Amino acid sequence: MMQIDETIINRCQTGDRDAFRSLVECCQGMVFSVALKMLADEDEAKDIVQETFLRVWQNISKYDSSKRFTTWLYAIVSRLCLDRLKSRRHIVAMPEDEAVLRHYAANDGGLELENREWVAIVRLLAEGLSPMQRLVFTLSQLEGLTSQEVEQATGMSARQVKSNLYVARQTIRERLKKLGYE
Amino acid sequence: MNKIDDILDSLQGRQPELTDGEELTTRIMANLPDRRHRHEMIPLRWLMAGIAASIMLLVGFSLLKPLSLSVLGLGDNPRSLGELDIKSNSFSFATPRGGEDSLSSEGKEDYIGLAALPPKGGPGRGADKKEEVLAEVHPAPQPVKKRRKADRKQSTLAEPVQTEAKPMNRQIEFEPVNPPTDSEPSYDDFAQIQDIRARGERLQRMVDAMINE
Repeated sequence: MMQIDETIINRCQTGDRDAFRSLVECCQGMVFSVALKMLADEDEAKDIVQETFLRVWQNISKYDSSKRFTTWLYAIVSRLCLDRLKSRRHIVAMPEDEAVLRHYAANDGGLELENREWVAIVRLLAEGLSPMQRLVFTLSQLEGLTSQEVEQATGMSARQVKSNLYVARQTIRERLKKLGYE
Repeated sequence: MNKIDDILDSLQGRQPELTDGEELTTRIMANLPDRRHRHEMIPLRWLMAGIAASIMLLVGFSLLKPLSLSVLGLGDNPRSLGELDIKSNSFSFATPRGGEDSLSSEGKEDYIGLAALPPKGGPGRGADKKEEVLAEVHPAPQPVKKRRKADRKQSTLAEPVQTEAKPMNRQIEFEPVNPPTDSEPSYDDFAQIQDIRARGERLQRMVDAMINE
């Protein structure tokens, strides 16, 4: 996980907008990544990025410097994504999503994925997962957070994280098996 | 790459590209609220909420207070109507708080009517006798007669009661039909007082429930 300079955070807490702009430029890619993988929609993901940094600006005085800033940021974006998922219908994979995954797998994962390809793959993988399972899978499997970081970002216990991740991986595995993957 | 684990592992740590990142940053910065103004608004919001809550409480209490402090004298310190002295066959009204008589002249007559206890006459005629007592207290309106001083001395209870209100005699003496013994208070005395008290207590409970809601 990236490290954020504490000086920038301290300046943001005093209301320094220039410092906050630096923070946004530094972290918005990370936030967008989580949001896109959770929501499988580019425009909604950008809305979430904007909302996330608005919340950061409003609440940065409450940020506990004993914890990592990125963990706090993941917690905010996770909560916003969960709220957005609750108000949406279930994410359903499209027929063309399968072709995107095959093309990606055929290139041994060496391709740089465009955003629309990310959306297709994520839609295919996440279909049928509950919001919590999706969140844990996204943070752990796709973003590469450790179990402890996932616990801090989601507020779940270690047991809950393990359980959700296990069910998510099993569900995805079953679906990919049906598509011919081993 | 056919292995599921390989596919998932290859996706780990890869981030999609944020196109229009600069534009998004500009949009974010443009929509940031002024944090100073926000902090000033918070106390104002609380102040408004506090004022609104106070007004509602005041209105609520002002509406409910007359109901709770009824003519039966109920309130935080419920007071008894008075004391029944069995031996002397008299009923004394309790002295109101502050030494002032809080009852209007009309209220006093009502008390007299309610507390007008054992009727004159024999037993079993309580209802009729009560009406006679009430009629004595609330007679039909009579034309006002100017009476000479001499006539006033001869006035008796049989004469029509003038419409001008007389000062209330707080000490009411009545003639019991069967003078109760020391150990046998009149059933009607206590029954009616208990009835009045019970009604008052029920009313007080209703009011307390309404206030607590």
